[in-house]
Amino acid sequence: MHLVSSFIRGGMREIFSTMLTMEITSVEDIPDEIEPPLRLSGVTGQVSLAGKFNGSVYLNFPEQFSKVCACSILGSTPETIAPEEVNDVIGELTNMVTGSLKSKMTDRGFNCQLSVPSVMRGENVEIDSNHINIKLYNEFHYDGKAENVIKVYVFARLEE
Amino acid sequence: MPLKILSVDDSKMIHTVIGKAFKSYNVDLIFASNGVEGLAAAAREKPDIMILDVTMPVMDGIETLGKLKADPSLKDIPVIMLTAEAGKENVIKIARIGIRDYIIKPFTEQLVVERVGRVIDLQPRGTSEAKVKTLDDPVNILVVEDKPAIIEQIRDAAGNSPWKIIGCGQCGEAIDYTSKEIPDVILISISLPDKAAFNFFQMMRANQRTKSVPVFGLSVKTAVEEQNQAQAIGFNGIFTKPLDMQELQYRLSKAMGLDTSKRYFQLEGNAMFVRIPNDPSTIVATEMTGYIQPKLREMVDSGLSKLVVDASEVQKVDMGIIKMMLNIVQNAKELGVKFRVVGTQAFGDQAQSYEDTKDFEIYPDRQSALSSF
Repeated sequence: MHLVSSFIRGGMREIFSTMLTMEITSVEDIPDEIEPPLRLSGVTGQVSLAGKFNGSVYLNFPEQFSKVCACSILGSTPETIAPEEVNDVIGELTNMVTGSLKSKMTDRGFNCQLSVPSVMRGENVEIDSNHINIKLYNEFHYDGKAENVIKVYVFARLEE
Repeated sequence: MPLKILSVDDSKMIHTVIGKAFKSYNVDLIFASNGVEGLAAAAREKPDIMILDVTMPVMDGIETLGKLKADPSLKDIPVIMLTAEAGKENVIKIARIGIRDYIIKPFTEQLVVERVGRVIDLQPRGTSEAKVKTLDDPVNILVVEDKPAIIEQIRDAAGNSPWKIIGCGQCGEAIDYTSKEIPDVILISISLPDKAAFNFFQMMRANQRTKSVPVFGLSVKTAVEEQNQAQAIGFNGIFTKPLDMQELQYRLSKAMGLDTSKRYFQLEGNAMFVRIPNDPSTIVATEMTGYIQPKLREMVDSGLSKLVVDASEVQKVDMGIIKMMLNIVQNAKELGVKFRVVGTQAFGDQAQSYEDTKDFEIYPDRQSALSSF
Protein backbone atom coordinates (compact mmCIF):
# COMPACT_ATOMS: atom_id res chain seq x y z
CA MET A 1 0.00 0.00 0.00
CA HIS A 2 1.28 3.46 -0.92
CA LEU A 3 2.26 5.69 2.02
CA VAL A 4 -0.25 8.33 0.85
CA SER A 5 -3.02 5.69 1.00
CA SER A 6 -2.13 4.94 4.60
CA PHE A 7 -2.37 8.68 5.39
CA ILE A 8 -5.75 8.88 3.63
CA ARG A 9 -7.10 5.85 5.50
CA GLY A 10 -6.03 7.19 8.92
CA GLY A 11 -7.36 10.68 8.16
CA MET A 12 -10.70 9.46 6.84
CA ARG A 13 -11.37 7.26 9.86
CA GLU A 14 -10.46 10.03 12.31
CA ILE A 15 -12.47 12.72 10.54
CA PHE A 16 -15.62 10.63 10.16
CA SER A 17 -15.40 9.42 13.73
CA THR A 18 -14.82 12.89 15.23
CA MET A 19 -17.09 15.05 13.10
CA LEU A 20 -19.89 12.63 12.16
CA THR A 21 -19.54 10.00 14.91
CA MET A 22 -19.44 7.43 12.10
CA GLU A 23 -17.00 4.54 12.31
CA ILE A 24 -16.06 3.80 8.71
CA THR A 25 -13.91 0.92 7.51
CA SER A 26 -11.44 0.91 4.65
CA VAL A 27 -11.74 -1.85 2.07
CA GLU A 28 -8.45 -3.71 2.26
CA ASP A 29 -8.73 -6.37 -0.43
CA ILE A 30 -8.61 -4.12 -3.49
CA PRO A 31 -5.52 -2.56 -5.09
CA ASP A 32 -4.99 1.09 -4.15
CA GLU A 33 -3.82 2.11 -7.65
CA ILE A 34 -6.13 3.32 -10.41
CA GLU A 35 -5.61 4.81 -13.85
CA PRO A 36 -7.42 8.03 -14.85
CA PRO A 37 -9.56 9.19 -16.55
CA LEU A 38 -12.51 8.14 -14.40
CA ARG A 39 -16.22 8.71 -14.51
CA LEU A 40 -17.89 9.56 -11.21
CA SER A 41 -21.53 9.82 -10.22
CA GLY A 42 -23.11 11.34 -7.15
CA VAL A 43 -21.56 14.12 -5.09
CA THR A 44 -17.82 14.72 -5.30
CA GLY A 45 -15.69 17.11 -3.24
CA GLN A 46 -12.37 18.24 -4.66
CA VAL A 47 -9.41 20.12 -3.19
CA SER A 48 -6.22 20.98 -5.10
CA LEU A 49 -2.71 20.90 -3.70
CA ALA A 50 0.07 23.08 -5.07
CA GLY A 51 3.74 22.96 -4.15
CA LYS A 52 6.19 20.12 -3.71
CA PHE A 53 3.21 17.80 -3.47
CA ASN A 54 0.74 18.88 -6.11
CA GLY A 55 -2.42 17.43 -7.53
CA SER A 56 -5.98 16.85 -6.38
CA VAL A 57 -7.91 14.87 -3.79
CA TYR A 58 -11.49 13.76 -4.58
CA LEU A 59 -14.07 12.39 -2.15
CA ASN A 60 -17.00 10.78 -3.97
CA PHE A 61 -20.32 9.87 -2.29
CA PRO A 62 -23.55 8.35 -3.65
CA GLU A 63 -26.13 11.11 -3.43
CA GLN A 64 -28.26 9.40 -0.79
CA PHE A 65 -25.29 8.64 1.45
CA SER A 66 -23.99 12.21 1.06
CA LYS A 67 -27.32 13.32 2.54
CA VAL A 68 -27.00 10.86 5.41
CA CYS A 69 -23.53 12.20 6.23
CA ALA A 70 -24.64 15.83 6.02
CA CYS A 71 -27.72 15.15 8.15
CA SER A 72 -25.70 13.47 10.86
CA ILE A 73 -23.74 16.66 11.44
CA LEU A 74 -26.36 19.31 10.66
CA GLY A 75 -29.20 17.56 12.49
CA SER A 76 -31.48 17.65 9.42
CA THR A 77 -33.39 14.86 7.67
CA PRO A 78 -32.56 13.48 4.19
CA GLU A 79 -36.03 14.53 3.03
CA THR A 80 -35.59 18.18 3.94
CA ILE A 81 -31.88 18.90 3.58
CA ALA A 82 -30.98 21.31 0.75
CA PRO A 83 -28.36 20.35 -1.87
CA GLU A 84 -26.27 23.42 -0.91
CA GLU A 85 -26.09 22.17 2.67
CA VAL A 86 -24.93 18.75 1.49
CA ASN A 87 -22.34 20.42 -0.77
CA ASP A 88 -21.06 22.45 2.15
CA VAL A 89 -20.54 19.36 4.33
CA ILE A 90 -18.91 17.34 1.53
CA GLY A 91 -16.64 20.28 0.69
CA GLU A 92 -15.60 20.70 4.32
CA LEU A 93 -14.97 16.97 4.77
CA THR A 94 -12.81 17.01 1.64
CA ASN A 95 -10.94 20.02 3.02
CA MET A 96 -10.28 18.20 6.28
CA VAL A 97 -9.10 15.00 4.59
CA THR A 98 -6.80 16.95 2.28
CA GLY A 99 -5.57 19.13 5.17
CA SER A 100 -4.73 16.02 7.14
CA LEU A 101 -2.81 14.60 4.15
CA LYS A 102 -1.05 17.92 3.57
CA SER A 103 0.13 18.02 7.20
CA LYS A 104 1.74 14.61 6.92
CA MET A 105 3.35 15.39 3.57
CA THR A 106 4.65 18.77 4.80
CA ASP A 107 6.22 17.12 7.84
CA ARG A 108 8.11 14.89 5.36
CA GLY A 109 9.44 17.86 3.41
CA PHE A 110 6.78 18.10 0.71
CA ASN A 111 5.32 21.50 1.50
CA CYS A 112 2.17 22.52 -0.34
CA GLN A 113 -0.82 24.85 -0.26
CA LEU A 114 -4.50 23.93 -0.42
CA SER A 115 -7.25 25.43 -2.54
CA VAL A 116 -10.71 26.07 -1.17
CA PRO A 117 -12.92 23.02 -1.80
CA SER A 118 -15.27 22.70 -4.75
CA VAL A 119 -18.14 20.25 -5.11
CA MET A 120 -19.41 18.58 -8.29
CA ARG A 121 -22.70 16.80 -8.81
CA GLY A 122 -23.98 14.68 -11.65
CA GLU A 123 -23.80 11.39 -13.54
CA ASN A 124 -20.64 10.30 -15.34
CA VAL A 125 -18.57 13.35 -14.45
CA GLU A 126 -15.17 12.72 -16.01
CA ILE A 127 -12.01 13.52 -14.04
CA ASP A 128 -8.55 13.24 -15.49
CA SER A 129 -5.05 14.24 -14.55
CA ASN A 130 -1.84 14.68 -16.51
CA HIS A 131 1.82 14.33 -15.56
CA ILE A 132 1.18 12.52 -12.33
CA ASN A 133 2.89 9.58 -10.73
CA ILE A 134 0.62 9.06 -7.73
CA LYS A 135 -2.74 7.60 -8.79
CA LEU A 136 -4.49 6.20 -5.76
CA TYR A 137 -7.91 4.84 -4.98
CA ASN A 138 -9.24 4.02 -1.51
CA GLU A 139 -12.72 2.87 -0.64
CA PHE A 140 -14.54 3.15 2.66
CA HIS A 141 -17.78 1.61 3.87
CA TYR A 142 -20.11 2.58 6.67
CA ASP A 143 -22.30 0.17 8.59
CA GLY A 144 -21.23 -2.74 6.32
CA LYS A 145 -23.56 -1.60 3.54
CA ALA A 146 -22.37 -1.41 -0.06
CA GLU A 147 -24.49 1.67 -0.74
CA ASN A 148 -22.79 3.56 2.10
CA VAL A 149 -19.55 3.93 0.21
CA ILE A 150 -17.01 6.74 0.00
CA LYS A 151 -14.45 6.62 -2.79
CA VAL A 152 -11.29 8.66 -2.35
CA TYR A 153 -8.98 9.43 -5.26
CA VAL A 154 -5.58 11.08 -5.04
CA PHE A 155 -3.94 12.16 -8.30
CA ALA A 156 -0.67 13.91 -7.55
CA ARG A 157 3.00 14.35 -8.23
CA LEU A 158 5.97 14.83 -5.94
CA GLU A 159 8.34 17.61 -7.00
CA GLU A 160 12.04 17.22 -6.30
CA MET B 1 -24.58 40.55 29.18
CA PRO B 2 -23.74 37.37 27.28
CA LEU B 3 -20.20 37.10 25.92
CA LYS B 4 -19.89 37.36 22.14
CA ILE B 5 -18.15 34.72 20.05
CA LEU B 6 -17.48 35.51 16.40
CA SER B 7 -16.97 32.46 14.19
CA VAL B 8 -15.43 33.23 10.79
CA ASP B 9 -15.59 30.24 8.46
CA ASP B 10 -16.82 29.63 4.94
CA SER B 11 -18.46 26.36 5.99
CA LYS B 12 -21.95 26.31 7.46
CA MET B 13 -21.06 22.89 8.82
CA ILE B 14 -18.42 24.45 11.07
CA HIS B 15 -20.89 27.13 12.19
CA THR B 16 -23.36 24.37 13.03
CA VAL B 17 -20.80 22.47 15.08
CA ILE B 18 -19.80 25.63 16.93
CA GLY B 19 -23.46 26.51 17.49
CA LYS B 20 -24.09 23.08 19.02
CA ALA B 21 -20.93 23.29 21.13
CA PHE B 22 -22.02 26.53 22.83
CA LYS B 23 -25.77 25.96 23.00
CA SER B 24 -25.69 25.44 26.75
CA TYR B 25 -23.58 28.53 27.43
CA ASN B 26 -24.64 32.09 27.95
CA VAL B 27 -23.02 33.44 24.78
CA ASP B 28 -24.13 35.26 21.64
CA LEU B 29 -22.76 33.64 18.50
CA ILE B 30 -22.05 35.74 15.44
CA PHE B 31 -21.18 34.08 12.14
CA ALA B 32 -19.26 35.41 9.17
CA SER B 33 -18.35 33.44 6.04
CA ASN B 34 -15.02 35.02 5.06
CA GLY B 35 -12.36 37.42 6.30
CA VAL B 36 -13.96 40.56 4.89
CA GLU B 37 -17.28 39.80 6.58
CA GLY B 38 -15.39 38.75 9.70
CA LEU B 39 -13.54 42.06 10.03
CA ALA B 40 -16.79 43.98 9.48
CA ALA B 41 -18.53 41.88 12.14
CA ALA B 42 -15.60 42.35 14.54
CA ALA B 43 -15.76 46.15 14.13
CA ARG B 44 -19.52 46.17 14.57
CA GLU B 45 -19.94 43.64 17.38
CA LYS B 46 -16.64 43.92 19.29
CA PRO B 47 -16.65 40.18 20.12
CA ASP B 48 -14.97 38.78 23.21
CA ILE B 49 -13.25 36.15 21.07
CA MET B 50 -12.92 35.24 17.39
CA ILE B 51 -12.69 31.70 16.03
CA LEU B 52 -11.04 32.12 12.64
CA ASP B 53 -10.69 29.55 9.86
CA VAL B 54 -7.48 29.59 7.82
CA THR B 55 -8.66 28.47 4.38
CA MET B 56 -11.48 30.67 3.11
CA PRO B 57 -12.42 32.35 -0.16
CA VAL B 58 -12.35 36.16 -0.61
CA MET B 59 -9.95 36.73 2.30
CA ASP B 60 -8.25 33.86 4.11
CA GLY B 61 -7.65 33.61 7.83
CA ILE B 62 -3.99 34.63 7.74
CA GLU B 63 -4.72 37.89 5.92
CA THR B 64 -7.74 38.53 8.14
CA LEU B 65 -5.62 38.11 11.25
CA GLY B 66 -2.98 40.52 9.88
CA LYS B 67 -5.61 43.19 9.26
CA LEU B 68 -7.20 42.60 12.67
CA LYS B 69 -3.87 43.03 14.46
CA ALA B 70 -3.13 46.20 12.47
CA ASP B 71 -6.36 47.86 13.60
CA PRO B 72 -5.91 49.52 17.03
CA SER B 73 -9.60 49.11 17.83
CA LEU B 74 -9.63 45.37 17.05
CA LYS B 75 -6.12 44.16 17.83
CA ASP B 76 -6.96 43.09 21.38
CA ILE B 77 -9.70 40.66 20.33
CA PRO B 78 -8.32 37.22 21.19
CA VAL B 79 -8.22 34.86 18.21
CA ILE B 80 -8.32 31.08 18.05
CA MET B 81 -7.36 29.78 14.62
CA LEU B 82 -9.13 26.81 13.14
CA THR B 83 -7.13 24.88 10.58
CA ALA B 84 -7.30 21.59 8.75
CA GLU B 85 -3.52 21.66 8.41
CA ALA B 86 -1.73 20.27 11.42
CA GLY B 87 1.80 20.30 9.96
CA LYS B 88 4.50 21.72 12.23
CA GLU B 89 5.41 24.44 9.75
CA ASN B 90 1.84 25.64 9.48
CA VAL B 91 1.34 25.62 13.22
CA ILE B 92 4.53 27.62 13.79
CA LYS B 93 3.52 30.09 11.09
CA ILE B 94 0.10 30.81 12.59
CA ALA B 95 1.46 30.85 16.15
CA ARG B 96 3.87 33.65 15.16
CA ILE B 97 1.14 36.02 14.05
CA GLY B 98 -0.40 36.63 17.41
CA ILE B 99 -3.08 34.09 18.14
CA ARG B 100 -4.17 32.81 21.53
CA ASP B 101 -4.59 29.20 20.47
CA TYR B 102 -5.31 27.01 17.48
CA ILE B 103 -7.60 24.05 16.85
CA ILE B 104 -6.84 21.40 14.28
CA LYS B 105 -9.76 20.01 12.27
CA PRO B 106 -11.35 17.56 12.86
CA PHE B 107 -12.34 18.73 16.31
CA THR B 108 -14.99 17.81 18.86
CA GLU B 109 -17.54 20.22 20.33
CA GLN B 110 -15.97 19.59 23.71
CA LEU B 111 -12.53 20.63 22.48
CA VAL B 112 -13.67 23.94 21.08
CA VAL B 113 -15.53 24.75 24.32
CA GLU B 114 -12.45 23.87 26.36
CA ARG B 115 -10.11 26.04 24.25
CA VAL B 116 -12.49 29.00 24.19
CA GLY B 117 -13.10 28.54 27.92
CA ARG B 118 -9.40 29.05 28.57
CA VAL B 119 -9.65 32.54 27.11
CA ILE B 120 -13.10 33.80 28.17
CA ASP B 121 -15.13 32.96 31.23
CA LEU B 122 -17.93 30.80 29.85
CA GLN B 123 -21.02 30.59 32.01
CA PRO B 124 -23.73 27.95 31.59
CA ARG B 125 -26.87 29.37 29.99
CA GLY B 126 -29.39 30.59 32.53
CA THR B 127 -26.96 31.43 35.33
CA SER B 128 -27.15 35.15 34.71
CA GLU B 129 -30.75 35.72 33.71
CA ALA B 130 -31.58 32.89 36.09
CA LYS B 131 -34.99 31.40 36.18
CA VAL B 132 -34.47 29.80 39.55
CA LYS B 133 -35.32 26.10 39.48
CA THR B 134 -37.84 24.86 41.99
CA LEU B 135 -38.71 21.45 43.41
CA ASP B 136 -41.11 21.00 40.48
CA ASP B 137 -38.37 21.30 37.86
CA PRO B 138 -36.62 18.20 36.54
CA VAL B 139 -33.00 17.81 37.62
CA ASN B 140 -30.43 15.15 36.72
CA ILE B 141 -28.43 13.64 39.54
CA LEU B 142 -25.47 11.52 38.51
CA VAL B 143 -24.59 8.84 41.08
CA VAL B 144 -21.25 7.09 40.57
CA GLU B 145 -21.22 4.15 42.96
CA ASP B 146 -20.13 0.53 42.63
CA LYS B 147 -22.76 -0.60 45.16
CA PRO B 148 -26.06 -0.83 43.26
CA ALA B 149 -28.03 -0.84 46.54
CA ILE B 150 -26.88 2.71 47.29
CA ILE B 151 -28.02 3.90 43.87
CA GLU B 152 -31.38 2.23 44.47
CA GLN B 153 -31.75 3.88 47.88
CA ILE B 154 -31.17 7.29 46.33
CA ARG B 155 -33.57 6.47 43.50
CA ASP B 156 -36.22 5.38 46.04
CA ALA B 157 -35.71 8.58 48.00
CA ALA B 158 -36.29 10.63 44.85
CA GLY B 159 -39.62 8.76 44.58
CA ASN B 160 -42.13 10.49 42.37
CA SER B 161 -40.26 13.78 42.34
CA PRO B 162 -38.95 15.10 39.01
CA TRP B 163 -35.41 14.24 40.14
CA LYS B 164 -33.86 11.79 37.69
CA ILE B 165 -31.16 9.54 39.12
CA ILE B 166 -28.54 8.37 36.63
CA GLY B 167 -26.63 5.49 38.19
CA CYS B 168 -23.14 4.54 36.97
CA GLY B 169 -21.12 1.67 38.42
CA GLN B 170 -17.81 2.98 37.12
CA CYS B 171 -16.20 6.32 36.37
CA GLY B 172 -15.87 5.44 32.67
CA GLU B 173 -19.66 5.32 32.31
CA ALA B 174 -19.96 8.59 34.19
CA ILE B 175 -17.41 10.27 31.92
CA ASP B 176 -19.37 9.08 28.88
CA TYR B 177 -22.54 10.52 30.39
CA THR B 178 -20.99 13.90 31.22
CA SER B 179 -19.62 14.18 27.69
CA LYS B 180 -23.23 14.17 26.46
CA GLU B 181 -25.21 15.75 29.31
CA ILE B 182 -24.37 18.16 32.09
CA PRO B 183 -25.81 16.80 35.36
CA ASP B 184 -27.17 19.24 37.95
CA VAL B 185 -25.23 17.53 40.72
CA ILE B 186 -22.88 14.56 41.06
CA LEU B 187 -22.59 12.05 43.90
CA ILE B 188 -19.57 9.75 43.77
CA SER B 189 -18.23 7.07 46.07
CA ILE B 190 -14.80 8.23 47.21
CA SER B 191 -13.79 4.65 47.95
CA LEU B 192 -13.85 3.55 44.30
CA PRO B 193 -10.65 1.64 43.41
CA ASP B 194 -7.48 3.45 42.33
CA LYS B 195 -8.61 6.83 43.68
CA ALA B 196 -10.97 6.98 40.71
CA ALA B 197 -13.30 9.47 42.43
CA PHE B 198 -10.50 11.98 42.89
CA ASN B 199 -9.36 11.69 39.27
CA PHE B 200 -12.97 12.00 38.15
CA PHE B 201 -13.47 15.09 40.30
CA GLN B 202 -10.41 16.74 38.78
CA MET B 203 -11.62 15.91 35.27
CA MET B 204 -14.95 17.54 36.02
CA ARG B 205 -13.30 20.67 37.38
CA ALA B 206 -10.90 20.89 34.41
CA ASN B 207 -13.75 20.70 31.92
CA GLN B 208 -15.43 23.99 31.08
CA ARG B 209 -18.83 22.31 30.76
CA THR B 210 -18.78 20.64 34.15
CA LYS B 211 -16.55 22.87 36.25
CA SER B 212 -19.51 24.43 38.08
CA VAL B 213 -21.42 21.20 38.76
CA PRO B 214 -21.51 20.48 42.52
CA VAL B 215 -19.77 17.19 43.39
CA PHE B 216 -20.42 15.37 46.67
CA GLY B 217 -18.54 12.35 47.99
CA LEU B 218 -20.20 9.23 49.38
CA SER B 219 -18.22 7.53 52.14
CA VAL B 220 -18.45 5.28 55.15
CA LYS B 221 -18.19 7.20 58.41
CA THR B 222 -14.84 5.73 59.37
CA ALA B 223 -13.00 6.61 56.12
CA VAL B 224 -11.89 9.89 57.64
CA GLU B 225 -8.66 10.17 55.68
CA GLU B 226 -10.45 9.84 52.33
CA GLN B 227 -13.09 12.33 53.44
CA ASN B 228 -10.41 14.86 54.41
CA GLN B 229 -8.69 14.37 51.09
CA ALA B 230 -11.96 14.94 49.23
CA GLN B 231 -12.67 18.11 51.19
CA ALA B 232 -9.11 19.31 50.60
CA ILE B 233 -9.34 19.07 46.82
CA GLY B 234 -12.65 20.88 46.75
CA PHE B 235 -15.56 18.41 46.90
CA ASN B 236 -18.72 20.36 47.76
CA GLY B 237 -19.40 18.02 50.66
CA ILE B 238 -19.54 14.45 51.93
CA PHE B 239 -22.50 12.21 52.71
CA THR B 240 -21.72 9.36 55.05
CA LYS B 241 -23.32 5.95 54.77
CA PRO B 242 -25.87 4.86 55.88
CA LEU B 243 -27.34 7.81 54.05
CA ASP B 244 -29.78 10.13 55.77
CA MET B 245 -32.13 10.68 52.86
CA GLN B 246 -33.70 13.83 54.26
CA GLU B 247 -30.27 15.38 54.73
CA LEU B 248 -29.32 14.26 51.20
CA GLN B 249 -32.39 15.88 49.65
CA TYR B 250 -32.01 19.13 51.53
CA ARG B 251 -28.29 19.52 50.90
CA LEU B 252 -28.60 18.60 47.22
CA SER B 253 -31.44 21.11 46.81
CA LYS B 254 -29.25 23.79 48.31
CA ALA B 255 -26.23 22.85 46.19
CA MET B 256 -28.36 23.03 43.04
CA GLY B 257 -29.75 26.40 44.13
CA LEU B 258 -33.34 25.13 44.03
CA ASP B 259 -36.10 27.29 45.40
CA THR B 260 -37.50 24.93 48.05
CA SER B 261 -39.77 27.47 49.71
CA LYS B 262 -42.76 25.45 48.51
CA ARG B 263 -41.96 22.97 51.28
CA TYR B 264 -43.15 25.59 53.78
CA PHE B 265 -44.84 28.53 52.06
CA GLN B 266 -48.01 28.40 50.01
CA LEU B 267 -50.20 31.10 48.58
CA GLU B 268 -53.88 30.24 48.72
CA GLY B 269 -56.52 32.78 47.82
CA ASN B 270 -55.62 36.06 49.46
CA ALA B 271 -53.47 34.60 52.24
CA MET B 272 -50.03 33.09 52.68
CA PHE B 273 -49.75 29.83 54.63
CA VAL B 274 -46.53 28.84 56.33
CA ARG B 275 -46.14 25.26 57.53
CA ILE B 276 -44.07 24.63 60.66
CA PRO B 277 -42.48 21.17 60.31
CA ASN B 278 -42.61 18.71 63.20
CA ASP B 279 -39.33 18.15 65.04
CA PRO B 280 -37.24 19.91 62.41
CA SER B 281 -33.59 18.92 62.09
CA THR B 282 -31.03 21.69 62.06
CA ILE B 283 -30.81 21.59 58.27
CA VAL B 284 -34.61 21.86 57.91
CA ALA B 285 -34.83 24.68 60.47
CA THR B 286 -32.04 26.57 58.74
CA GLU B 287 -33.61 26.14 55.32
CA MET B 288 -37.05 27.20 56.51
CA THR B 289 -35.78 30.18 58.52
CA GLY B 290 -33.88 31.41 55.47
CA TYR B 291 -37.13 31.85 53.56
CA ILE B 292 -39.10 33.71 56.24
CA GLN B 293 -38.06 37.27 55.49
CA PRO B 294 -37.98 37.04 51.66
CA LYS B 295 -41.31 35.23 51.43
CA LEU B 296 -43.08 37.64 53.77
CA ARG B 297 -41.67 40.60 51.84
CA GLU B 298 -42.78 38.96 48.62
CA MET B 299 -46.35 38.54 49.90
CA VAL B 300 -46.53 42.17 51.06
CA ASP B 301 -45.05 43.32 47.77
CA SER B 302 -47.77 41.47 45.90
CA GLY B 303 -50.51 43.13 47.96
CA LEU B 304 -51.28 40.41 50.53
CA SER B 305 -51.47 41.04 54.26
CA LYS B 306 -52.83 37.83 55.81
CA LEU B 307 -50.54 35.12 57.12
CA VAL B 308 -51.57 31.76 58.61
CA VAL B 309 -48.84 30.04 60.60
CA ASP B 310 -49.79 26.37 60.50
CA ALA B 311 -48.21 24.40 63.36
CA SER B 312 -50.73 21.58 63.30
CA GLU B 313 -48.02 19.01 62.51
CA VAL B 314 -45.99 20.00 65.58
CA GLN B 315 -46.28 17.44 68.36
CA LYS B 316 -43.64 18.72 70.71
CA VAL B 317 -42.86 22.36 71.25
CA ASP B 318 -39.22 23.10 71.99
CA MET B 319 -36.94 26.11 71.78
CA GLY B 320 -36.26 25.45 68.08
CA ILE B 321 -39.97 25.68 67.28
CA ILE B 322 -40.42 28.72 69.50
CA LYS B 323 -37.52 30.53 67.79
CA MET B 324 -38.98 29.75 64.37
CA MET B 325 -42.42 31.02 65.38
CA LEU B 326 -40.98 34.19 66.87
CA ASN B 327 -38.94 34.84 63.76
CA ILE B 328 -42.10 34.64 61.66
CA VAL B 329 -44.16 36.75 64.03
CA GLN B 330 -41.46 39.41 64.34
CA ASN B 331 -41.10 39.71 60.55
CA ALA B 332 -44.88 39.80 60.14
CA LYS B 333 -45.21 42.64 62.68
CA GLU B 334 -42.41 44.64 61.08
CA LEU B 335 -44.10 44.36 57.69
CA GLY B 336 -47.59 45.08 59.00
CA VAL B 337 -48.83 41.58 58.21
CA LYS B 338 -51.76 40.17 60.21
CA PHE B 339 -51.19 36.60 61.35
CA ARG B 340 -53.07 33.71 62.91
CA VAL B 341 -51.68 30.49 64.38
CA VAL B 342 -53.14 27.03 63.72
CA GLY B 343 -52.29 24.10 66.00
CA THR B 344 -53.59 21.19 67.98
CA GLN B 345 -54.85 21.47 71.53
CA ALA B 346 -51.58 19.91 72.72
CA PHE B 347 -49.58 22.50 70.78
CA GLY B 348 -51.63 25.29 72.35
CA ASP B 349 -51.07 23.91 75.82
CA GLN B 350 -47.33 23.62 75.30
CA ALA B 351 -47.04 27.06 73.66
CA GLN B 352 -48.63 28.64 76.73
CA SER B 353 -45.75 27.52 78.84
CA TYR B 354 -43.31 29.73 76.92
CA GLU B 355 -43.26 33.44 77.72
CA ASP B 356 -43.03 34.48 74.07
CA THR B 357 -45.94 32.37 72.83
CA LYS B 358 -48.23 32.24 75.83
CA ASP B 359 -50.57 34.87 74.40
CA PHE B 360 -51.00 33.22 70.99
CA GLU B 361 -54.59 32.53 70.10
CA ILE B 362 -54.54 29.05 68.55
CA TYR B 363 -57.05 28.09 65.85
CA PRO B 364 -57.92 24.39 65.30
CA ASP B 365 -57.72 24.52 61.49
CA ARG B 366 -56.80 26.75 58.55
CA GLN B 367 -60.40 27.57 57.71
CA SER B 368 -61.26 28.92 61.15
CA ALA B 369 -58.01 30.91 61.19
CA LEU B 370 -58.80 32.43 57.80
CA SER B 371 -62.35 33.38 58.69
CA SER B 372 -61.14 35.14 61.84
CA PHE B 373 -59.26 37.86 59.88
